[in-house]
Amino acid sequence: MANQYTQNQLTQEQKDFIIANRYNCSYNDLIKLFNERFNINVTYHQIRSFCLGKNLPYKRYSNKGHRFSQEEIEWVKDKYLNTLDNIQEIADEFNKTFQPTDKIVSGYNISDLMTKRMHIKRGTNKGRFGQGINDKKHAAIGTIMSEVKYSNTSSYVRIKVSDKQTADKGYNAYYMPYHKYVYEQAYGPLQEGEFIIFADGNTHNFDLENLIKVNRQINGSLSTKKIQGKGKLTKAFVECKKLEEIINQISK
Amino acid sequence: MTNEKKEKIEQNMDEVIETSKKMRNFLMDEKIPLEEKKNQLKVLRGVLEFNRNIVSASVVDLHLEEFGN
Repeated sequence: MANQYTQNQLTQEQKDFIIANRYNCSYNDLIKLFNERFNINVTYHQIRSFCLGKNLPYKRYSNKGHRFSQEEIEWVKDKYLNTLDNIQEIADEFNKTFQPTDKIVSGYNISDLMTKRMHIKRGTNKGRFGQGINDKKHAAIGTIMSEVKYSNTSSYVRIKVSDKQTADKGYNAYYMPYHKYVYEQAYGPLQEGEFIIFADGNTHNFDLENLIKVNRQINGSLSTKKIQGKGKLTKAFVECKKLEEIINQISK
Repeated sequence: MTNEKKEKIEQNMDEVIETSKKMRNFLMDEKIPLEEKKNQLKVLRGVLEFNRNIVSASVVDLHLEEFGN
C-alpha cells in the first residue's frame, strides 16, 4: 500500500525530483510520475501548493527540457508515424528505452518535437480536404488552382509558390495569384502599390498583352469611369494615364 | 453600335496605345537629356490631350450603347 504524503516528510530527493520535472509536466503528469517513483499518494492540491510555494511555473515550451539527439529523434519519428497512436504512450516508452538523465520526457515534448520542430503531421486529422489537388497544404509547388469566390466569372487562379507559412501573410504565403506570377516571370517583380489587372476582364486569360500593370490611382480612375475590362479601351486609357504621370514628373 | 464603328474605335485605340508607348519610351530613355525632353513637353501634352479626347469619346459611345440597351 502506498504511503500517505505529508509536506514535512518530503526528502531532498523528492523535492529535487519535483523541481526538475515541473517545467515539462502538468500537475497531473507530475503527480503520476511522482507517485510511481516514490510510491506515495499525493493529491493535486498538495503538489500544487508545493509548486506554488517554491514558485515553480509550468513552462511547457521551455528550452530547459530534454535535448533530443539525432538517434532519439529518428526513434520518435518512427514511433510517431508508424506504430503508436497515443503520444503519452510514446513518451512512456521513450523514457523506458532511453532513460533520459536530465528531464523525463512527457507527451507534450514529443508532440512539440514532431509538430513544431520537425513539421511532421501524422495525418490522423486531415480536415475536410482529401489528399490530392484539392488539399492545399499537401499540393506540390507549382500546382495551379482555380478558386471560385463568388461566381464562375470572378474566379482567380492561384499558383503554389512556397511551402512555408509566414506569420504576417498567413495562408496567402502558400499561393500567389497566377496572373501576378506570369507577369513577374516576364517583367520582374512588382513594386509596392502596383498590381495587375486584366484588360478584357477575363480572369483566365493570361496573355501578357492582356495583363496590365497599374497603380491604385489609375485603377481608381478606371473604376470611376467604369471602363474596367473593356479590352483595348481600358489599355488605351491606362497608357494615357501612365504617360500623364511621367509628363507630370518631368515637368516638376 | 455597328461593326464599322467598333472597328474604328479599335483602330483609334491601337493608335492611341502606340503613340502613348512611343512617347513614354522617349521620356523614359536615359540617353536623351532632360532639357530636350522638357522642350518636347508642350507637343507631348498636346498629343496626350488629343489621345485622351479620343478615349473619352469612345467611352461615351460605349456608355451610351449600354444605356440604350
